[in-house]
Amino acid sequence: MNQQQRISPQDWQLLSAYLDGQLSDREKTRLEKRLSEQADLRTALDELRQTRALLRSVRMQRVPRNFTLTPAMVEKPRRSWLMNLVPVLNFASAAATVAVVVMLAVTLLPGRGLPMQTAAQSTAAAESMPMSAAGSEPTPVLQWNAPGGMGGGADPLMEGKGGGDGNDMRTFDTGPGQGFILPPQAVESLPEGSAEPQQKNFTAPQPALTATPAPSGDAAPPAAPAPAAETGQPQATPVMEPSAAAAQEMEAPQEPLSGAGPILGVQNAAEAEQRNMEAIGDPYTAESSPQPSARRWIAPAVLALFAVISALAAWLIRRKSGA
Amino acid sequence: MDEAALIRDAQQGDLDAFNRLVLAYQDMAYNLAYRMLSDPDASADATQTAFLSAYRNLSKYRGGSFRAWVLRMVTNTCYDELRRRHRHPTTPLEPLDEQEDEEIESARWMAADQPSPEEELEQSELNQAVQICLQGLPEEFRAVIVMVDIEGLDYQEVSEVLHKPLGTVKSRVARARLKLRDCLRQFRELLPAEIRLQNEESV
Repeated sequence: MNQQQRISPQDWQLLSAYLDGQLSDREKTRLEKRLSEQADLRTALDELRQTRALLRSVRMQRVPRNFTLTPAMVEKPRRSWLMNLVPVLNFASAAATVAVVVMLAVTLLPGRGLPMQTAAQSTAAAESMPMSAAGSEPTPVLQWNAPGGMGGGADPLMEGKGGGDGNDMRTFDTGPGQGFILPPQAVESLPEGSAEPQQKNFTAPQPALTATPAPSGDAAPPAAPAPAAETGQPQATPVMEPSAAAAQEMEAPQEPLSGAGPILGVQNAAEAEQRNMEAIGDPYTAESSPQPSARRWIAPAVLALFAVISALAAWLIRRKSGA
Repeated sequence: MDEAALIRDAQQGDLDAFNRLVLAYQDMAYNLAYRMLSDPDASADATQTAFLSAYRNLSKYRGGSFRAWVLRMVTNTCYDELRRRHRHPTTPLEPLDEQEDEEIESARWMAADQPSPEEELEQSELNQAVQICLQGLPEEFRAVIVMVDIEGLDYQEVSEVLHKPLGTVKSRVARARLKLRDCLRQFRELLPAEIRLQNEESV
């Protein structure tokens, strides 16, 4: 073992090649000179020589049979009809891949339906909608003093859209044509728990108004309690437990949306229902996108799947055919 | 035998000419497969497959050593078979010792083996020792050392077979011999007397 450590791999290689006569004359002369001087090298050479002699003394195995070929063996196997499909599948897979790439490129090109842009447009539409939708409706009087505000809560970004700062006691007296509606995006951005108190504190003297429920269900219940109870206690502390509020929200879709809506009377029941359904869905796509963004990906996904399946099928056929 | 003429005829579809080449090289091809795969049946299958492949690809033969070209077919077939074994491992070739419940790769197993007279005749102890040690080598080293030391090819031919530079062949031969030297030491008692004596002297 020590000897093996002393002999470098290069020397082992030189010795091995020397045994096989694979060294140049110059290398051979140099090695022979070293061999005459270094006993370790001579021992190593002897060991390699013995190993080589041992291997060369191994007798050849007798073949168990002749391996000559018969005409039947060399006859080319009939090409399976499945093999004919391979080029077709290859082409289909390549074409589908190209189509997927093109579709993705078109979809992701600027101005061609980026999800972010869709969201921005949707938000803009939602923000402008209350003004136009409630233009002819009577004036709702909105008043609250609880933390958070309509559509904005304590979020300073939502100021000006009916949101309070949560500390000031404010009364919003909206003028004609300024009915409130809760954009789904605005409601979604509310801090958790900020919307619930406000539902119980505002005053809405118009009993025929309709409220719009929030899309996520954690904000505004669609219909406020009876006007009599509300108007009498405009600044009352909320008495509804969160669980009760949640229960009410859960039941909201079954309750009629018109007639008893004292709060945000801007839409009739049909419109409210439509907005409810939109709000339940993707808030980005429900508003203004004519084609939901999820559907944009269906065609590329199907094509990509097709490409993968075609390629797999071609590969399997080739593999089974041994080609 | 005019090998070039036989190859030319075989390339034109003369199966008899090709079969004469098969008979000339089948011993070498089978032995390479046997040393690589260590299984007579699998080696026979690999040899047959290699010759069939050689016949079908004869048009791609562009001169040079036909022996190296045939052995390349054999080597590639063996590599395929070894890869298949790695993917689908089966029971080990070595018998299990029922008492110790472990694989035996020692000289004791071979000494205690009870070979039939035919096996005894066919597989000498040296043969088995070399075969066991060869199986302990990486496949690339095994192929090189079998071709050089058992089949007697020169480095240049092995380089053609494996499509590897001469330096790689040289290095692999040296490292394989070194590993085999270490492995064969444990079989010293089973080796031929003259080699055993030399080993003992050197140790």
